[in-house]
Amino acid sequence: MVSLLPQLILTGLTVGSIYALVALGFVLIYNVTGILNFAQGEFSMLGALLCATLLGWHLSLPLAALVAVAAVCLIGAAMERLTIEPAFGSHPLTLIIITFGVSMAFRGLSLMIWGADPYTLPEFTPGPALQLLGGVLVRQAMWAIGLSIAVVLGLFLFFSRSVPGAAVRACADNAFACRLLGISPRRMSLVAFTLSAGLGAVAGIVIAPITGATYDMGLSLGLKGFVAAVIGGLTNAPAAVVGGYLVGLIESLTTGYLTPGYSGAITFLVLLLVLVIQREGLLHAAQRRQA
Amino acid sequence: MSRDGWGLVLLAAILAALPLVAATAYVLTLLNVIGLYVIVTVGLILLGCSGQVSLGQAAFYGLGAYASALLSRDLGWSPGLTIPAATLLVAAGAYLVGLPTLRLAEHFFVLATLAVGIIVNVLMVQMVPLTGGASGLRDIPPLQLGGLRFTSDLHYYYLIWALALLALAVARNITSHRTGRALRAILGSEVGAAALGVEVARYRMQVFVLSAAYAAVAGAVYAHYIRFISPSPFSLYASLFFLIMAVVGGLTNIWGGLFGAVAVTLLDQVVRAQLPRVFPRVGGEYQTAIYGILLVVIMIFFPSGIVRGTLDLRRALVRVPHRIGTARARSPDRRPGLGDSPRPADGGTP
Amino acid sequence: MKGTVKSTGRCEAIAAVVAVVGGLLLAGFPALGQGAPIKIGTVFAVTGPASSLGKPEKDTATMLQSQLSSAGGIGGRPVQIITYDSESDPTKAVLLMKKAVTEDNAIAVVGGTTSPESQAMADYAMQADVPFMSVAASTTLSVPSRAWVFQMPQRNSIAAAKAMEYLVAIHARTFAFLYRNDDFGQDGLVAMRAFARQHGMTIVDTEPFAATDTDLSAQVARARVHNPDVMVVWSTPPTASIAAKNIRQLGMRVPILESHGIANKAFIQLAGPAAEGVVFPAGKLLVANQLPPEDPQRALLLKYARDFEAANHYTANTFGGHAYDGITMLVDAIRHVGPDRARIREYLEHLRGFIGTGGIFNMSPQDHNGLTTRDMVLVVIHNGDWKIWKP
Repeated sequence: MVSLLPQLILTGLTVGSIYALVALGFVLIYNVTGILNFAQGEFSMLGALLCATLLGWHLSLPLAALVAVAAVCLIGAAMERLTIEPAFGSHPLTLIIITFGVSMAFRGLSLMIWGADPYTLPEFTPGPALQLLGGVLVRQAMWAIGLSIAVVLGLFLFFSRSVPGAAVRACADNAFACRLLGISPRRMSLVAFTLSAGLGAVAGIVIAPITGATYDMGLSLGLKGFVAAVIGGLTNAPAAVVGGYLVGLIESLTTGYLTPGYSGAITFLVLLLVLVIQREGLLHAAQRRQA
Repeated sequence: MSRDGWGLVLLAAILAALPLVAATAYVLTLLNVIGLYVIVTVGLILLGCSGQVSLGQAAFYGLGAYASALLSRDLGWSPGLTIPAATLLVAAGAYLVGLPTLRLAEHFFVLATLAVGIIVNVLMVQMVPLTGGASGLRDIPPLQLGGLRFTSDLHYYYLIWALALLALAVARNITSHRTGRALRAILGSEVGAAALGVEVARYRMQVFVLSAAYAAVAGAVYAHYIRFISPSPFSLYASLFFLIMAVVGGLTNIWGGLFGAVAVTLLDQVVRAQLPRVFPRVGGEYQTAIYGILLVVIMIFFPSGIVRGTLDLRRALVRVPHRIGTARARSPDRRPGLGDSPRPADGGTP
Repeated sequence: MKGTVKSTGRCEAIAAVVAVVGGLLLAGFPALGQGAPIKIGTVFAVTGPASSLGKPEKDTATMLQSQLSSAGGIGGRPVQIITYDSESDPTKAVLLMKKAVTEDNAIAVVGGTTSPESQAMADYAMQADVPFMSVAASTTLSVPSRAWVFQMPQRNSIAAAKAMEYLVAIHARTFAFLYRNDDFGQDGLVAMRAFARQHGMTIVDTEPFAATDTDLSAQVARARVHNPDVMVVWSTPPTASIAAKNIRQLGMRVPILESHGIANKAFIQLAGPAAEGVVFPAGKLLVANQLPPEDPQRALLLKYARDFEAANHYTANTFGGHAYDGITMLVDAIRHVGPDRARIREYLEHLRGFIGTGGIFNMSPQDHNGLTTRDMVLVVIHNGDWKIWKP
């Protein structure tokens, strides 16, 4: 017999894992530079479309994905050098507006290059969907969920166990002290953007086999990933991942049990509530950092 | 005040004479649309004067339009009544939105307005029995004041630009008197302003409600002018569009609102008209990319608006040639564009 | 400092006036001394959410322009087809139509890719007494009939009636209706409800979704609970494809019936294997080469497909065909009665037997669409291509 709730939960976890990846990108950049990067969603879009194009040039899927991620990392670095660095020291609102501008530019350029039609990517491991706990889970979804967990673990290890990771963390804590130690905050900013771009690209490539890839997929991905990041307090990576799954579940459950069209409004209502009630995010208090 | 006063009179004279030169319906429609955008953008700039940026201005614009349309079409009230009524309703709504959100830090306030804007847009699309959903509302009654029926583009031209001039005058008045000084103090330093006895929260709320009211009036007039509204002109894209107009003119510069609205709308038309000649196989696709790049370039190089930025550049070039390109020489807590008060007039820094 | 602010404020104002004058000149105002050419205005959604419909429409217009130019125009007078991009925005569509009519002096306008755009443009056409050939399918555009408004696609109610023929043929008793929550989907819902009642079928579940949704498994799961005989989806790609994919992924094996909105290759590309066996009503363009030789539309359809693909390097689809019908019908009218708006309207209203891509048009004062279910076929997707469905 068919049941609704398990299906909704599985769907929610699938999209949630993508929001988690996008949220991680937000958190990374915010932590290191204090900037809210509204072009984050566009990195996912670029990753997916570039990968689709490379596949069209008959590269194998792993190679195409790798090249696409690398290319988007370069784009992220270029964005940092061309648009963030020159505005270094500006008011945070100025920087937010700049990132909005960059996201519009990316969207517009994508439209010119790829057109408005949707593109597809093949599933990583094609095969029938899995029957799980009363619901159906597409194989690609396993990749999505698995990857987001792997990425979180990887980032955790990077930040806590490696020297460059420690440098990035130190910079996030106290930029001035870092400069004294010879660590350049500007370079850390570049690293953060490059890494986040890569994260975004991975998210885009993983989700495209399920949802398709269009030039405008970045905006809603970015906004929802952003909501997830805020729920997690904007500075706390694991919390952002939980936030991502939360947003995915909320979206799925409201679509399933309430009128579907309102799920977008509900997600942003959640954002509003989180912003207003707990300015630092619901889960942040649990992991307050020492100054 | 007198200089600005003469400026307004001159502008009014030019505007009154313009229809004699440019009489086609299309040009008048374009000028009318620009006029409406001026009102919305000046509202946004007023908000900018208090150090806040809104990404939901199009939502208030749309709420004004829907409110006035529904009150006049479904309840039969005269549009002469529904326009002020809609404005008051939206202002009240803005008050309610502002209560919890204005105390947020600036970058969180932006996001709160973003969220409000999106929620409102979703409601416009979803509440089909009320708003007509994505197909929109048709048969909105035209404006009728006393015996005068506003039906032609020319009628609306005079109405809209009279309102725009009024909007500019009121905004200028506010920013040059006590409220303006209070706003500049808040802009410079919230803590400092509070220490001086300025009621930060009250001024912030007043400005926010006023900026929403500006957008609502423009929206209400728009509804009775075009007589058809749908959710698409009130989306996040529209809010970004208004932001671009404010940024082009200078986020804290009232007269910049006039320039910004005019420049961006006309840039839009020019791009449409000229680009197909250069790139024949492409439609308007270049637009989004151009606007994005424009926004970035302006915020980096002309944060106080294009006009002032160009003047400063010229001044800097003339006076101190070796200071060109000293973006990095700015001290870290300079706030170009949003904290203009402390900046010295010569455009350079120590 | 006060002085500084005020003087640059004035500079802003002066700059604004300069911008107005300069911009208006560059924006093409006013077009002086144009004289002879007959102008047809077109406003399509070349960009924006409806661009997959609007771009072929515009490309068709461009193709027709070059064909008309090489044929020497109409009766020796050159013809100019002016194309504008409405960006899928009804407000912009109306403004551009105004420009075409008042600035460019277009004799008539073809366009309105989406129904909201067409509705707004139709209102203006009635105000300004200009013939308007709409390329949108909303039933209310021609029902009730309006003097200056003509509709080129088979309207939604006709498409629904055709879709219904499929349900009747396979003896379905129940179906679930998943639809895009806008004018197109809502129009389809109204029509299908009426026809279902007529034929004694039950709609067991209706599920709306947004055009931007990337996953519809929630809606499909809810519909699945009611065990429908057929899943009916009323939308365009990408959601139409996502729905088909989700339906198969959730293990439903029932037939999938979609709308005429999937009459392009994008649907098949996106849906992948899920597209196999999907049935939908469509104009005959998609299966032109499978039509019997005596079908009066066959020659025209094949020629249009060939010319379009040669000029634009991608497959023609029915949406471009609607633009083709609008423009060629106008050209036919102008050829017979000259560039006079009222006479064109009169002529169009009594046009009978006009062979277009949408069908054979038989207009009348009460019917400004002029098409019936006979002008559509039921198409089934098989091996990534379109075949005429046979019961």
